[in-house]
Amino acid sequence: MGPTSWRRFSFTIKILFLLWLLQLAWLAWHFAPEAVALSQRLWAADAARGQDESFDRWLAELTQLLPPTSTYILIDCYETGNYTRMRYHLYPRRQVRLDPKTSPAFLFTAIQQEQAAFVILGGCHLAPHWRYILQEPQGVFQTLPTAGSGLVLGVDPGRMVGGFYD
Amino acid sequence: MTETLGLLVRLLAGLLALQVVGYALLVVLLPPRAAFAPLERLALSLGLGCLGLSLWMLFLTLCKVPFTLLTLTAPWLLLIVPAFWLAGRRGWLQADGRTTKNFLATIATLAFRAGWPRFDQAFLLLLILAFLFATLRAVLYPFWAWDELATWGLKAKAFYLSQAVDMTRFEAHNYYPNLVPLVLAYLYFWLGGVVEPLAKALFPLTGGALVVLFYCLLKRLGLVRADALVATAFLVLNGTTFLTHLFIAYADLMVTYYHLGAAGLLYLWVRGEAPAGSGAIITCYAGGMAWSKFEGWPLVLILVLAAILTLMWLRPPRAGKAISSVLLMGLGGWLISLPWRQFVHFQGWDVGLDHVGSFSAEQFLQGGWLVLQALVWPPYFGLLWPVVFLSCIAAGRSLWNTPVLFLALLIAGNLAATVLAYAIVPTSSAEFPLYVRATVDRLLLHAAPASALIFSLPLAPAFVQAPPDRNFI
Repeated sequence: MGPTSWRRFSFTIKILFLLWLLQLAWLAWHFAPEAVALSQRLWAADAARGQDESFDRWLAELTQLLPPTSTYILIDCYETGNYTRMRYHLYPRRQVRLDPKTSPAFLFTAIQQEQAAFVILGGCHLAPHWRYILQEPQGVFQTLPTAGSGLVLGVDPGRMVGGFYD
Repeated sequence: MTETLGLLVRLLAGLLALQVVGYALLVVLLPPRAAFAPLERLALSLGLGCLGLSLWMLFLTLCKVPFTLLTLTAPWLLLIVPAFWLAGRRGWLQADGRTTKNFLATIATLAFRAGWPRFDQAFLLLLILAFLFATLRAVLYPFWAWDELATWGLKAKAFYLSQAVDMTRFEAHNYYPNLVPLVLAYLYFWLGGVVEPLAKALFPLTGGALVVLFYCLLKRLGLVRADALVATAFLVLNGTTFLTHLFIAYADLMVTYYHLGAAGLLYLWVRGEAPAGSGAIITCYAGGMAWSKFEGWPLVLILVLAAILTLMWLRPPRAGKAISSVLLMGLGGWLISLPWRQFVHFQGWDVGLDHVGSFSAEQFLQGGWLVLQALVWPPYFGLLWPVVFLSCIAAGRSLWNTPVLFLALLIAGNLAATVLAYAIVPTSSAEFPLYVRATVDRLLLHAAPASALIFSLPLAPAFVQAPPDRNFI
């Protein structure tokens, strides 16, 4: 190996080097499943389209349903992370996220203030009062047919009379 | 198939355009006597290209000129044509062309034609495999990590679709600097749409430039090729953090790259070995740090402070002038980020309220302990940080009475700043450990390559002033 001989290294460096080689083996083991998935994806027909989950397919459906200039209210927990995926994929549609613990009055205020045309109920556990909101008698909400995990409601702001939702 | 090939050609053209703009800026910034090696010029060009183009996009927004491929590229011809003519006159263009060809041939043939020993080839192969994996991982998957979707990727998409720096339709830490989303948006214009997986090729490319720069700096610090390759592979393939940032669209890799460039050249400068023109590059790279991430500006301050303290302690000849120069470099970096600060001010956005609260002694202690754990927790950085500390110990007295002090102060300063940042972050005590675990690897990444320059001490104990082989391959 000439001038780059292994022998010229000090004992400490040799020990560290061997430990690093062990760490390299761990690193290879750690990334092995990803490397396998990568090779499979490389040969798959729809490799880079990124719509291999039902949530992605639902988002693609929503992009057809919601006009680009519209605003929608997403009722979902922060922790699911779905709001970031939805906000990214549905952009330039404007997202207003509300927590499932939000009161109905706050929802109606948000609809009025943000001029929201849609309400989307995400996958998070919803508080019991939401089912009453969906059944409200004025017909503010119309359920829109989608194949996704969440519920999409069209909003008719003309039917909102206000003052009694709590 | 034809469509994919077309997109790949467009991507390569976009990345090449970034490099060409950066190269033109480099030629204009450097004096003719600047003895940068061709590989160094190529590695530095990418950073200048990203900086120049993203600032140009901000300027277009301020002038209310919409982004198009024409407005983004055509005006640069006014700089590129004379700069390339100048580079040709200086002989740089020919040398850099030859070096690029040799560099690519070395990688493609695993240096067989160059006759490298097996030892060197083994480490080159490790690096090639790491980058092959990272590149494929980047370009075959859409955005999936949190900040890709929530911040950087979202902004890139918004800038592309609105043809301006427009964040009126969302709130995603809007005061954050925007170098990365603007460069991604720039690539979208080349690709003709929001083709996010392909645009992510920016990140392995930036990682490649970082690695080449690290290798070149080690060579300048007196390491032979084999040792520089070992140390470079040791930096890349230690834990998962560095490797992961090669294929996710976060701004941390860009900050790390700029930090290495600025810190590495500043270290050479403190040693009195920096090539002419280094001050201009350090200034631009400091600006790049501040324009890439909110944490960038504190990193610049630490660099400036470490250099000034080193100069005050070592008292080299004309220390006062040297200190003034360091201050000017820091000021220059601040001025580069000034247009964005003004833009944020005009928009009336609150800056840093989500990250800066009041000092908490409890968080300081707990954060310090968690940072220490992260330094030695193998899945984050493997053996990298323990070996950095062992190298500091091995440095002995040279830590106090030579410019190595700069590296020691840089390491200590960054760790102290990280712990301090955790002490003032506004989180509940229940959320605090989760917050630290979600961010500590990224914060430690920023200074990791610059800190790893200290490997030059155990590997090259007899300092060499300047390596004879300027091509570095």
